[in-house]
Amino acid sequence: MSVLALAPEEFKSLVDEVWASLLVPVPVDADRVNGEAATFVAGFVEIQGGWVGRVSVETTDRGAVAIASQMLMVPSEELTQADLVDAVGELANIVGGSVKSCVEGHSTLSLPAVVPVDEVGGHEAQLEVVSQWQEHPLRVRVLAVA
Amino acid sequence: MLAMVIDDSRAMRSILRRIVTELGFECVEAADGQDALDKMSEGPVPDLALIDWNMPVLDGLSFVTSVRENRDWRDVTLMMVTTEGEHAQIVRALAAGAHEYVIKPFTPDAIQEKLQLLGLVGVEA
Amino acid sequence: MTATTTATAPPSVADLSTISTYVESRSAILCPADKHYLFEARLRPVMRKHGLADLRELAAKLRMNGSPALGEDVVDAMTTNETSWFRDIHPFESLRTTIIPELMAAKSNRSLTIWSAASSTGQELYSLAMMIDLQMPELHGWDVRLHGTDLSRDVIAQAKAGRYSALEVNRGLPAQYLARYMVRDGAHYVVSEGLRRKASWDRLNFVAPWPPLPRFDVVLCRNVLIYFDVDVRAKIIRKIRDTIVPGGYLLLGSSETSIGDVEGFQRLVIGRTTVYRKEHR
Repeated sequence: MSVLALAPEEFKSLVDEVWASLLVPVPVDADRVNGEAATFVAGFVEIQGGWVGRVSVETTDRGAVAIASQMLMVPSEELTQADLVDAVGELANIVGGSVKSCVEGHSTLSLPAVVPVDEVGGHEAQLEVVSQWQEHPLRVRVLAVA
Repeated sequence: MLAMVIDDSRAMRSILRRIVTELGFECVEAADGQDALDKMSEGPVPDLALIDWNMPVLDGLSFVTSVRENRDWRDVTLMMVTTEGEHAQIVRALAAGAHEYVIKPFTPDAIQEKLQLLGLVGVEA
Repeated sequence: MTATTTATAPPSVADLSTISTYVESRSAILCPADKHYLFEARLRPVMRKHGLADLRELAAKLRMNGSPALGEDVVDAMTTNETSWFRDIHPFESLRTTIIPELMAAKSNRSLTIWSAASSTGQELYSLAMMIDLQMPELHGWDVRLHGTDLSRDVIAQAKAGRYSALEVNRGLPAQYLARYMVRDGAHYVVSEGLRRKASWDRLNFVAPWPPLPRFDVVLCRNVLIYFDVDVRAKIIRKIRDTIVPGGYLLLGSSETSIGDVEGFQRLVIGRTTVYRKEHR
C-alpha cells in the first residue's frame, strides 16, 4: 500500500516555489481565505495510484483573471473564459505533479479540470496552504478520497 | 535557430515562448505531441523542442519516441519541460531519447542554463 | 521593548546605515547605499522570524546588540548568494581537460584535495564530485577530498544535507547527473550518499580567524571577492595562497579578472578560463 509522503511544511515550500516561479510579486502567507462574498473557481488534477486524491488550486474569479493575464501577458479585458481555465488548470497541473512525485510507487496524473469550487468534491482536505496575491486569495488543497 | 514549444497549456507555451525568444530563438508552438509531429512533417524542422509530458492526443514521451525513430529528425534537440519529477520518469525520458529535462516549476534561468549545457546558447567567458 | 512605531513607516537613512554597518563589521562585505533597496526583500523573512514589523524595528534591535541569533540571521540573509550547478561550465571543462590531469601527472601520492571556498549551498562542490565520478575514471582509486566552506550556517547545513528543491536542481544540473546521483525524498532531491561521503563542510568567515585547513591542490573562490574592498580582497587572496600547494591552482569567478598586487601566482588562460597557478619557490 503506497502513501503520500509529504509533510505539511514540505507541501508549503513546494507551493511557495510554484508561486515564486510564476507570479510577480511573490504571494505572501495568509491566515485565512479573504473574499467571502466572491465566487471561487478551482483548478484540480486527480492522482491515481497507490494514493488516490485530488490537488486543487483555488482563487476568486477576479484572481483567475489576474493570474491568466500575467501568465499569458495579455490585458485582462482581452482574456477569454478558455484562457482562465487554461491558466488555473496549468497551476493545478504543476502543483499536482509535484505532489504526485511524493506518492510512493507509480501513479498517474489526470489532465486538469476547472470547476466552481463547490464541485471539487466532498473529499477530506489533507493538506492546505493559504496565501494572498495582491488582493486575491489563493488556496491549494490536497484532498484524499475518503 | 528554431524552437518548438509543445504544451497543451497556452499559458505555459506563452511563458516558454518568451524565454526562448529572449534567448534568440524563433519560436513555433504545438498543442500536443501529434500536433507537433504534424508541424514537423510539414517543416521547418526545429533545432530544439521543449516538450510537456502529460498532453491529450499524444503525450510527450510518445512524441520523443516517434522523433527518435525518424532519421530525418535526429538533429532535433529534445528537452522535456514537465511536472513529472519522479526519478523513474526522468530515467524513462532519457532512455527514450530526450537530451535534457526540466522539472516544473522552473525559473527562466533554468531554461537558459540547460540550453547552455546543450551548446544551444552561449556562455559568457 | 521597542518604542511604539507607526506601522510600516519607511526606514530612515540612519536605520539603513545601522544595518549596513552591522553587516560590514561582521563580514567585511560591502553594503553601499545603492544596495540598500535589497534590505526589504532579503530581510523580510528574518523580520518575520523575529517578530519585527519593519526595518526600523530591526535597526533598533541591532543597535541594542542584544540578540546574537538575530545578528547572525541578518548577516546570513545579506551574504547568501545564488548559485547553480556547473556554473559558467568553462571552469569545470578546464579542470577536467587540463588542470586535474596535469596535477595527477605531477603527484606521487595519488591524492587530490579541492576547496570550494564560497560554497554557498554546495552545488559547485557536488558538481565537481559528479564530474569526477562520471567523467574521470582515471581518478578512481585516488584519494579525492572535497571541502566546502561558507560564511552562512544555514547554507552549510543545506550543503551538508545535499538536499535541493526542484527549482534548485533545474539550475544547470544535467539530466543524466540528476538521474544518476540524486534520489527523491518527499518534495526534494538528495545527493546520493556515496557522493556526500566524499565532501566535508565547515563554516568559514574570510575576515574572522580561519579554522584549520589542509593543503589544497585546487581552490575555487568564485563570485565572492567582488563584495570586498580592494585591500580586504588582497588579504584574503594571500591567505588562500598560503593554503595551496606549489603548482596548485586558484580559480576566481568569470568576471573577476585580477588578483591585484598579490604575488606568488602565475596567471594562465586555459580554454576560456583564467586561472592562477601558485609558483614553486
